[in-house]
Amino acid sequence: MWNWIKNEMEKITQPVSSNSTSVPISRSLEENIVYFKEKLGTSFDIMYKQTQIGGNKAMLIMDDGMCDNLLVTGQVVNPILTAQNLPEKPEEQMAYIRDCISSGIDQREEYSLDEAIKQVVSGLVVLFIDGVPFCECFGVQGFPKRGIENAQTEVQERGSQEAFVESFKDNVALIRRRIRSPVVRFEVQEVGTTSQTRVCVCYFADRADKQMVETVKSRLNKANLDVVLGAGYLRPFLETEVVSLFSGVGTTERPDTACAEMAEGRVVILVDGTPFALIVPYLFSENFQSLDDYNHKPHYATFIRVLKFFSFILSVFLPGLYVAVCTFHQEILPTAMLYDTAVQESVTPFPVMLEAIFIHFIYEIVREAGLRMPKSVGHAVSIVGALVIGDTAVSAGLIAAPMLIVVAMTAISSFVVSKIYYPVSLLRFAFMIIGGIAGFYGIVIGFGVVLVNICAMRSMQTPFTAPFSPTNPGALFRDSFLRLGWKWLGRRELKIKSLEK
Amino acid sequence: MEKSTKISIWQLFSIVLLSRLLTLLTYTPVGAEGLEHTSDYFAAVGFAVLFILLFSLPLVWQRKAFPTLDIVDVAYCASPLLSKGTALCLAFFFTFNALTTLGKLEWFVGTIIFPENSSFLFVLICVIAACYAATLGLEAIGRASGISLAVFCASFIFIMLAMAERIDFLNFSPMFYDGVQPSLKAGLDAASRTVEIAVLSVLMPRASGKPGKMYAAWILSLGGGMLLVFFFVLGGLGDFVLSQLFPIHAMAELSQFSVFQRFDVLLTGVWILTAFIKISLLLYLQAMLLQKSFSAKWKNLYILAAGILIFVVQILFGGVFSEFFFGTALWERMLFFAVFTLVIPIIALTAATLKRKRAHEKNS
Amino acid sequence: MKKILKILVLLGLLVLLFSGCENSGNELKNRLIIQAIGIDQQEDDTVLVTLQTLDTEMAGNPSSGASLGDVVTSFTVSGKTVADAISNAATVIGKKPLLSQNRLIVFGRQTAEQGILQHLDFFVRDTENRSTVLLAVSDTSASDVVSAKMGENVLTADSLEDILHAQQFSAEVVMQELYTVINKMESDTADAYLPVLKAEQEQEGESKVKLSSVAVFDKDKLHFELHDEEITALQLLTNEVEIGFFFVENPDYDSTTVLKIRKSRVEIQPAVKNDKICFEICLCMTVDIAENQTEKPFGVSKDFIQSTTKRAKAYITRLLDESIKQSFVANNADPYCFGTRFLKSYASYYKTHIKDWKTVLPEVEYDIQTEIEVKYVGNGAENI
Repeated sequence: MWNWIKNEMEKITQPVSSNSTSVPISRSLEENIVYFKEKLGTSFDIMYKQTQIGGNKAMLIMDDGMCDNLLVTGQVVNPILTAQNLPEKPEEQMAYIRDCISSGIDQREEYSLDEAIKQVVSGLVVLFIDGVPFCECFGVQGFPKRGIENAQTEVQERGSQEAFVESFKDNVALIRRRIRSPVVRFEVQEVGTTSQTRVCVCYFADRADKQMVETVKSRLNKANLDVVLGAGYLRPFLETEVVSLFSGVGTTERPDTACAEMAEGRVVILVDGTPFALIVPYLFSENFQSLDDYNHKPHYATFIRVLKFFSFILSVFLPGLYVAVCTFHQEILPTAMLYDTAVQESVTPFPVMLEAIFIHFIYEIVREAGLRMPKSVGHAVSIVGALVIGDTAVSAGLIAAPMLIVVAMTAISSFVVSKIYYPVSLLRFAFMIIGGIAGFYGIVIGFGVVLVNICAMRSMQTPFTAPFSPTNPGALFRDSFLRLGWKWLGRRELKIKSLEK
Repeated sequence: MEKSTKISIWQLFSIVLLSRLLTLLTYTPVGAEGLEHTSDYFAAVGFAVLFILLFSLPLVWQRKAFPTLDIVDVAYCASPLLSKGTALCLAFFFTFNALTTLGKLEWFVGTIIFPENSSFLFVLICVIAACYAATLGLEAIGRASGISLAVFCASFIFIMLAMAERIDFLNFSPMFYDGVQPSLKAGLDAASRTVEIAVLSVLMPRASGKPGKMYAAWILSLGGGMLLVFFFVLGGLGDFVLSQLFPIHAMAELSQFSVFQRFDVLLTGVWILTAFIKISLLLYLQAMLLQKSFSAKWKNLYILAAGILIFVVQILFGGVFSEFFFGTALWERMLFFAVFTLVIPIIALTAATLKRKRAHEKNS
Repeated sequence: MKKILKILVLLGLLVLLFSGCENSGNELKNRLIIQAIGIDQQEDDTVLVTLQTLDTEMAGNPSSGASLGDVVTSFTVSGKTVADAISNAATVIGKKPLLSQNRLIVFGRQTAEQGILQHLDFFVRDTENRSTVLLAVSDTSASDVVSAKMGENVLTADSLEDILHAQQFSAEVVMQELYTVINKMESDTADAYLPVLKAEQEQEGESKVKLSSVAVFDKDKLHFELHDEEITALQLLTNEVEIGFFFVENPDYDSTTVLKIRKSRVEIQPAVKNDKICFEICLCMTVDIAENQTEKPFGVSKDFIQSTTKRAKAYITRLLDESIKQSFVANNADPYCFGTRFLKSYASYYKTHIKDWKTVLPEVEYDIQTEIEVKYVGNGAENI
C-alpha cells in the first residue's frame, strides 16, 4: 500500500534539479549577454544598459526592483560614464573603475556567469566590458521591506516590543545590538537549490558546543530542498529521529528571546525572508517559559509557570476526561455535579464522544477562520461562532451546557500555552477518541505513550524532557518549575550541555 | 533509534522501584499465602526484604567479579553456548513476567474499571502501546519511569493524606497470633514476585554511577514503601482487607477529601501507567537479550513477536496465567523464581570464574 | 518487517474505531442514578428492593416545570436476591442502575432480624458501590423510609444522609459505613450496630423520618436496641462524640443544667487480674454550660460549677456503667469493641483461655474513672 502511494506521488513530481557546472565569463560581451538573456528570459525587471567605456563596449545589468536607483545613478552609472583618463585596455579599465571610480561601495569580482546572474537577482549591478573575462558587481541593493514592528505571537507585558522582520540583515542587527560582544558569531550559508535562501547560524562562540554547531551546519547543508520560503521548511532537518507531535526545534519572533537562548549555549537560525528564528536544542519545559517571566518577581513567575503546566494538562486531557467520565466512570463525580451533568446530557441527541468531537471541531473551524480572515471580518467570525456554539446549540438541545464549559475552559487553557497549541489540539482530539473508546484506561495508556515518546526525543543530543527526566535538580529548581531571582540567575548562565545526562 | 545505551543509575533505580511497586499494588489476599491476622503483614515486609537480599547475593558476586558485564556476557566468558542458553532463559522469564503483569492488569481492569466490557480491546491497546514504547529503547523507558515514579509518589501522598483520618489503631490485629510461619511464608511469597533482581543482573552494567548506593536506596525505599502502604491499608480498612480482591484499591476508594469523594481514580491511573511501563521494559529486555544472542538487527521483530505472543496467550489462556501466582503452591512458585534468579546466575558466574582462573593459571 | 508492523498498527486502529459502538449503554444519559436502597426480605423468600432514584429526563425538559422534589422517584422491584431485584429495575425504567451515587442502604426490621450479611455481599462485591455507603435499619419496613416523601424541594436521600451525619452535632446519633459494619459483623470480639430510622406519616402524604434508636446486632442479626442516653454512652465509649448535650440535676441549687460536650476522649485499658478480665475505663471530658434553669438563671458561682461538675461525673459514670451492664450482662453483646482491645493487648491469653468472647462477656469487670472539666460558662458568669 505504501509503495502504491509512493509510486503515485512519484508520477506527479520530479527530482529537484541541482546546478550544473558553472559557465565561465567569456571575453566576448555578446556571448555573455546571450547567456544572460537565455537564463533570465524576458523578465521585465531585468534591465540591460549598453554603453561605451573608453571606446570599449560595456553592459550594465541590474534588477530594477532589487536596486536603489539613486545609488545606482550616483555611485555606479554617473561616475563610470563621466570618468576621464580611463586606460585603453579593457582589463585595466575594469581595474581602474574598481579601484578609483566606484571604490566607495561594496564590490566583488565574479568569474562565472551563473554567479553573476545570482548577484543580479540579489540586487547588485553587474558591469561587463567587452574583452574582460570577469565582471564587476556593485552592492547597491535597495528592495522594499517592512519596518520593525511589535511582536504578534509572543506578546510581552514588560519586555521589549521589537520583533524580527523579513530582512535578514536587520534581524542580525537586532541581535548584535543586544549583545555587543565579540563572542557572537553569525555564519551564513545558502539553502534551497532554486531559492538560494540565505540562512544564518548564530551562536555564542564561548559557550555553544562546537560539535553541535557543526551538526546544525551540516544538517542545513544536507537539507535537500528546492525552495525555502520560511523557517519551518528547515525544521524537519533539525528535528530528532523519533516521530512526535512535539518539536525539538523552537521558534521565536523576538530578538531578545533569541539572545537569551544563545546565552544558554543554544544555536539560533535566521532564515532570510522569515520573521521567525529557529532555536536548537529546544526542550519541553521551554514551552512554559516566556521572557516576561524574567521581568516579573520570581514568585509571580513561578506561579505563572505552574499555571501554564496546569493549563497544558487541562487543555490536553479535560475533554477526554469529560467524555470518559460521562461514558464510563460516572462514580468519580460528586452526586450534585453528576445529576446536573446527567440532566443536561439527557436532552442531547448525540453520544458524548461524538458531541465532544463535533463541538471541538466547530471550535477549531471558528478559530482557524478568525485567524486567516482580515481583522475586521475576524471579529464577526468570533461573534457568529460564539452565538452559534454558545447559545443556539445549547438552547436547541444539540449540545449540553457542561460540554460548552469544557470547550471554553480547554480553549482558554490552550491559549496559555500557545507555543504548543498545535500538538495540544491534536492530542486533545486523540484523547477524546480514546476516552470515548476505552475510558480512563485508554487515557492513561495514551498518556503513557506520549510520555515515552517525548522521553525518547533528543534535541541535538539533549534529552527533550530535561531537566525533569533525566532529573537535574540544579536546573529543575533554577529555572524550570521554579524561577530563581536575578541575584542568582545573573551570576551563572545555564549550560545546556549539562542537561545531556 | 537508540544511540546511547547507558542510563543513569537513578533512572535504573526508578525503573526497578516502579516495577516492584506495581507488584505491591497488585497485591491480593486471595490465594495460598493470604494471612488471617493482618498485622502479620508488617513482619512479612521485613522477611520479604531479607529474602530479597538473599536472592540478590549472585548479583553482588556478579558486581564484584565482573563489574562491566551483564549476566549474559558473564556466561559468554565461560562459553558462547551457555551465554545463548542464559539469554534464552532470561528472555523467557521476562516474557512470562510481562504476561503475568498483563494478566493482572486485565484482571484489575475487568473487575474494577470495566466489569461489563470485553477485555480484548484493553489488552490489545496495552500490548500495542507497550510494543511501541519498547521499540523506543531503554533510555526512553528509563526517563518515563522517572516521571512516572514522581507521579506515583505524589498520588500516594494524596491518597494517604486523605486516608489519615480513617486510621483506627483498633484495626491492627495482634502480630504473630498464629506464630511466625504465616509471616515467613508471606515474606517468601513477596520475595518470589521480585523479578527486578533478574532485571538488575542484566541492566546494572548499563547504568553509569554507583550501583551499591542505588541498590541500598532501592531496598530501603521498597521496604519503607511496603510498610507505609500496609499501615494505611490495614489501619484504614481493618479485616475488610481480607474481603477485597484489590485491598490497595479499596483503600484509595475509602479516602476522600472535601468534594473529592474518591481517590481510587488516582490509584487506577498510576496502576495502569506503571503496568504499561513494566510491560514495555520486560518486552524491551527480552528483545535486548535475544539481540545479544542472535541477530542484532531484528530488535523490533523480537518485540513484536513477544507482544503478539503475550496478547494471544492472554486472550486464549488468560485464566491459566493469571492464576499462576494465586493457584500454584508457594514452593512451586519459589522454585520457578529461584531457577532464574539463583540457579542460572550461579551457574554462569561459577563457570566464568573457573574459566578465568584457569586462564590466569595458564598465563602465569 | 516495517510493512507488517504498519499493517498491524492499522488493523489495531480499525478494531479501536469499531469498538466505540459497544459502550453506548453505559453513557450517563442511559443510567439510573440510585440515591438510596431499601431491602425487605419477603415471606416467600424473595427480596423486595425499594430504589430511590433521580429522574434526569423530567428535570432536563425545561418546559416540564418540574420542582426539585419531583426529580426523586421511588419504586419497588423484587427478585430472588438483591442483585436480581436491582437488575430487574432496568425492566421497569429502561435504564441501567448506577450504584456509585447510592448514599444509603436501609434494611427493614424483619430483614435485620433474619440477618443482613447475605444481602451485603452484593454491595461488597459490586465495584460501583462505595464501601463508605451508610447503613441503617428501618423501624418498620425499608420501603417506608426509602419511599418517604419529605416535602416539596426536598431530596429524600439528602435528608436521610443529613440525619445520619448529625453525629457531628449530637451524641445521640450514630452513623455507620458499610466497611466498618462488615468488619464488626465478621469479628468474634465486637458486635455491629446500626441506626434505626422511623418514618412517620404527616399531612398530605408527606412523611417525617427521624432516628429512633440504635440496633445492636449479634453477628448479622438484630439483637436489641439502645435508646437515648444509651446511645450517648455508646458514642462516648467508641470515641465518636464530637458535640453532645446532657442534663445534670442539682438539688443543692434546685437547678437543671445543660452541659455541652466540647471534647471527649476515652481510654480503655484491658488487664487480667486474678485470672479475671477487667478493663480500666478513663473518660476525660471538657464541657461548657449551655443552659442553667434555676430561679436566678444567669449567674453561676464557683461552688455551683464544682457541684455541677461532681454531679456530672457521677451521672456519666452511672450512664456508662448501666450501658455496659445492659450490653454485657443483659444482652451478652459488645458493641464497644472491648473484646478487640483485649485481643490486641493479650493475644496469647486470649488464644489459650478464651474460646468465645461472648461466654466471658458477662463476667468481665470494669472500673470507670471520669474526669470532667467545665471550660466555658457562656455569658452568664457574673458571680465567678
